[in-house]
Amino acid sequence: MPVSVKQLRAVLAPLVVFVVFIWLWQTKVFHNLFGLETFAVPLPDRIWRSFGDDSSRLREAFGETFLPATIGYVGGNLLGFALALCLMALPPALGRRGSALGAAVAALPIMAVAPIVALWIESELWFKSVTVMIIVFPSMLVYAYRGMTSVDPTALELMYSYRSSQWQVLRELRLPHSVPQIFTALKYTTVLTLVAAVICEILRAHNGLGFEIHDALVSFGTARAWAAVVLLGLTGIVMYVLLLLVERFGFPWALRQDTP
Amino acid sequence: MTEPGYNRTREALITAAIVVGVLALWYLAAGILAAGDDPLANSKLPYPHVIVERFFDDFSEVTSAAWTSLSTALIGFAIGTAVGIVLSVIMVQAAWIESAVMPYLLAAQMVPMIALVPISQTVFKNDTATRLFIAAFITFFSVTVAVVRGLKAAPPPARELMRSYNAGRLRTLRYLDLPAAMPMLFSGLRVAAPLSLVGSVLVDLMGGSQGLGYLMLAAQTFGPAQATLVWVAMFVLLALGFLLAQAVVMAEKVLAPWQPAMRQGGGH
Repeated sequence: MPVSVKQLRAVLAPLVVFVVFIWLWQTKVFHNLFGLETFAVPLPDRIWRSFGDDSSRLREAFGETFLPATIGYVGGNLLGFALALCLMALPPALGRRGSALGAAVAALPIMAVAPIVALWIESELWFKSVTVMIIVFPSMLVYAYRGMTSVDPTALELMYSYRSSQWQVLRELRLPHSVPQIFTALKYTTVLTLVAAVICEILRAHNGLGFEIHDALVSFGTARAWAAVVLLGLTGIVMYVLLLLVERFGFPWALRQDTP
Repeated sequence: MTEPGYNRTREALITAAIVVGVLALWYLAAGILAAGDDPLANSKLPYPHVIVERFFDDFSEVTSAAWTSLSTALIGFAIGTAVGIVLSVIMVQAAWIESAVMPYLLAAQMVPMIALVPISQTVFKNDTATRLFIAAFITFFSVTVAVVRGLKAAPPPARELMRSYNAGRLRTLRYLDLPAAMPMLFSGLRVAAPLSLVGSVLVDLMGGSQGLGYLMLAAQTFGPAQATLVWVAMFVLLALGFLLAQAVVMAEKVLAPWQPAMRQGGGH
């Protein structure tokens, strides 16, 4: 199979940047340039070794972050979708306002939600899960509602002329049409989920990767803090890529619609 | 066809009804909670008027904290936007720069940047510098990705027209690509604006001694009597986030009023 220049460049160029960047970092070029200390910004090999040295701690912290993040993510998205369905059952004027209310809730900064939830919930697990849920559900609500209501009017007319019931319109037209929007919301909320979990951990919870960063810095284990950050970043990227794959292979027809 | 004037009054009435309804529900819930035997009822859900009173009681403290958060967020936001626009213009000039840098910019969208706050604090050893850096950093990523996309959004016929006029790169950029990138730029800004505020506030939580985050933390550590202050800080933060988002929308209306979507909305 011939490989085009474009494909080659798409793989090689980022790789070269990565290698050069790590090399400059490792040989302390950045440190000398910006006057950084190695205890503030550890070298890449120290961070890499920290994954081995602190693996049990990091694994435990990862679990403490990942479980509530997953509960919140799944719960929030289900809740948002269920609410969008409820709005569909209402008259359009009310549904539109409900969706606008959802958009207003989506604008709530995580920073403002977390302290209030902290006042209500003692358990660290549920404190994080509920915060994530509150952050996640309005985006799903808004996107799913938009997807289900932005169907082609002529298709709608056609279905009504066939005497389709509301339920049939929903199942055959509105739901398939909203798939791209739903995936947009699913992808968008992955990073929100992690951000919310980390903020909760920094704010109050005394476990998880967010706290691990803080704890490592206080006890001068900067390499461990950086390792935790890398782990968080990788989690976000993996979650996103997984969703991308599900979309590509599970709903290939929806993808075409999304990107003309 | 209904008259627009009549419609607008109706819309306003319904919105007002929703606001009144939410407030009524709040009073009801707070009343029920207060009637129960939860000693923390006042902090879990205080009556709205208690929060308003508290806001005016601690007015100077709250406004100075809000100003710290808002001003650093705004400056960082501006820096991040400027750097983002410049970098994206450079990126679209050469395909190899774009393909080298773009994957990282995209990946950065999926990474919780907030986790960098504690780390950058140990690097800068200065709260204001950290606040600025985080706000700028977060803004930079969403702006760059959006603008790169926007710079390539101009329709091909328009590009051909520019070429037939023998317009150079600079002119094409000025008269075609930059205006065409405006809608994307603003959609990036809309995402970044609240995040830069959150970044700034998070620095307060991590040991800063000013700002809204500090106020929240102080209120939480000093017991239930201070908990209404958490609510005050939350509403102030909410208002700031709303104002920032509105400011971006206003700026878009002033700077890029030619978009069809705007004309539809602002037409009548």
